Amino acid sequence: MSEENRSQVLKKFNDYAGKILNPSVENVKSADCRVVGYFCSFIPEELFIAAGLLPFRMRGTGSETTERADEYFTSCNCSFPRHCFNQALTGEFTFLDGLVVGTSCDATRYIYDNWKSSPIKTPFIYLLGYPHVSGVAMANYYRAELAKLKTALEEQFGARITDEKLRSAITLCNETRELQRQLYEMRKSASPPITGSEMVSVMVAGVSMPKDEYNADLKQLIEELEALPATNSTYAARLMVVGSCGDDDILSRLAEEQGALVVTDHTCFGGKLKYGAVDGAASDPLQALAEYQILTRPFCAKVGGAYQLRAKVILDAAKEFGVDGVLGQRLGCCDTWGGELYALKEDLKGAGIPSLMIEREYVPDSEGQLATRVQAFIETVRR
Amino acid sequence: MTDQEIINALTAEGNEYFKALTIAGVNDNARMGRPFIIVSDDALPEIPVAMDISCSIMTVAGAMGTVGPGAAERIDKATEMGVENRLCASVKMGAYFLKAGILPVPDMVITTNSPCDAVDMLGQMMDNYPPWAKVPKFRLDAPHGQTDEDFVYFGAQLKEMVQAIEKATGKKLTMERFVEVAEESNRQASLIMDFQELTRAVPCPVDPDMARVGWELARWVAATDPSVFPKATGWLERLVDVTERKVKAKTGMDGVQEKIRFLWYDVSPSWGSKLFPRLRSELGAVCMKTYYSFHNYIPIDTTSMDSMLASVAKKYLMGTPMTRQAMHTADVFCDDIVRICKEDKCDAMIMPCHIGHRDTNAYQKLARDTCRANGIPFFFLGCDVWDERYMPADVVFDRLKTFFQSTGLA
Repeated sequence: MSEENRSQVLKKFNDYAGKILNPSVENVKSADCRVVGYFCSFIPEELFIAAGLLPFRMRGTGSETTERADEYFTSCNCSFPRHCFNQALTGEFTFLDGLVVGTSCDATRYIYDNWKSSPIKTPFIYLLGYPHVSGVAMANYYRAELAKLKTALEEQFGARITDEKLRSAITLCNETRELQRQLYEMRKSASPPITGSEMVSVMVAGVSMPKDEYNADLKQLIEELEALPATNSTYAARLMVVGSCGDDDILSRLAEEQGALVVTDHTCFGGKLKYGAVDGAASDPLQALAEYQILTRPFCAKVGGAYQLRAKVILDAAKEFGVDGVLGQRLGCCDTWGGELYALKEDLKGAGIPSLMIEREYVPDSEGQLATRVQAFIETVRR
Repeated sequence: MTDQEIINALTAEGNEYFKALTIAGVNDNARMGRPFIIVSDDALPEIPVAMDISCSIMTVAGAMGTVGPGAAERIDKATEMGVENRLCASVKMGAYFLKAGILPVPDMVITTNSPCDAVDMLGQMMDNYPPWAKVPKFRLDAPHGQTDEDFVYFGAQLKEMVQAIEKATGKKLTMERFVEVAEESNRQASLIMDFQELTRAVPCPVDPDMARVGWELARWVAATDPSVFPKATGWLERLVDVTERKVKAKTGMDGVQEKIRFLWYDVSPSWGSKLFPRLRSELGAVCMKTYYSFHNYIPIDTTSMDSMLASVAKKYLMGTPMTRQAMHTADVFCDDIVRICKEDKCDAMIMPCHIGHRDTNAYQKLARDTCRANGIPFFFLGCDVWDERYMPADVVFDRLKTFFQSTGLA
């Protein structure tokens, strides 16, 4: 979308994705609603929404240094938690009334202990056990863990999370996923109406503001994009971005600055979130949430027994979106994604899809080298 | 034999047994005629021993690959694979052995997320390794919690794992044999605790690292060859006997004028033979504990099959070195520091912070704060316990010497 025709909604999403505290969160706070931060995507937002809380997905946006976090984490830890924690230490997350940390990757898990012992005064800090195998017994275990979190939220915030409220929250979040899928579908066309860089903002904003407001904005955006003439078909290559985090547009932006177009992704803040739906009619909504995360969407790269599914989802998407190549990104010291991308590179090669796997830092010292590698890759896959 | 000759003989015996853990040993184990399983990490030896199965451990084979002739070249080759440069070299080496196609095809593969992301990643590589596509697989989900619910959850998975092993190998786990092995395992654990207690004497009578040797014999080596399991008990009995005699005689370690006792809170480095003896002889500084020489008595409850599996689960989750430190919250990590320093009368705590250990690198401030609050001098190192090139043993020695001198300990 050209700058002059740029949707106001898209501008809003871009604004929200580019900072931590946004006007919607401020509105919620001024209305006496509480905000709970959470790491990572497998923690069901539905539980917070049913408790009348605003879930806020944690990220380190705006961070320029890890100076203060370095006292806690060394450079042998992934830079995502280091930047997130640095932002917390500098007061960027003082608006949080609670924080839930999941036992996803080790680096993120260790935020829990460090946050607890730090001067950051967050009234509620909770560690949620998350299984690392996709299986029925694990879904049942996760259901029990979610039940404990539900009780803790009720006690801390004086809320009562009924099945009815949970079902209502599930419906709301399923609608979000459906709308996001519609948006992704539009990117399959020969002339996608939205860039990969813009799409990052759309997805990041979705985990940073109230869902009903976001859904209304998404509907408006879809309408606007549907009305646009097809003009975006002169790109050098159609690309897919795969990897951890994905709460910034660095890779998409660099690729698009070189004339390519990112048409889909499979990242923790991006396309993974729109996958499938929670069974809103289930007699036990907590069980439905657990099964969705563990059985339907085991997309955390640390979950064993699910790599083949993850690879299939990526390969299918590459095919459906007519991708010429895949850009893989992982952060330094991330052992989990090191293995995931190593395996994925082989599978993509087997499927005849070129790929470039990049190690970067959450806040790169310089984008020059990254840009060079991306540019060289585009030259090898250009149409 | 003198006491020192007995200790030397025990050391030599242990080193001989450890050959079974190397990559060559893994290939030998596959030829033993028993069903052969490859696991990503600790092999819960009670189960393979009771089922008369041979289990080789990828991370241990990887760690053994970081020592001896050609180690640096092997580490470099493993790094060149491009998985993750700062990945723990024991895991990197395990992945390299796998991808290099030099491992035998096992009858079964068992993987787990414990103790860390790196081992989880290695396990997933094993699960998806194309030449092993038809090999039966089982994956364990070790929880991060420390409640009875967590132990029952993990114990139930062990039950399923046993069924999967039975299906894959035709071997059966009988209650009678499992009880026998569990009782022997309890006996071994008890002997390790006795040794641990005896080494707390001042002066320390025997290198406390012998607890690591005994533990690895009883668990890792016995898992590769079940016939070693009872021999490990005998080895531990001889160790306790000689240590008892030395405590009664109030004799310290041979040739050591003990002045400093310290905790090395990480894995004992593969280049430790260049460091610890020198610290003892030149500074009188004795390493009282490492991850693998620190043990907690978690007995197996032999009342029923379920109670045995749940207590094996607890023993695994709370008693296995590294799993204990890396899988749980910082409370466990920091409480252990204080406990060890108190029980072992340590004068200082060394935080090696192996570059591949994300846990220690994320807990170093908490550890430092804990030590300061308890009056324990703390020193952060930042080394690679497998690749000596990162920080040579001589440099580590010099830094520790300076630290001990600066704090008035040396």
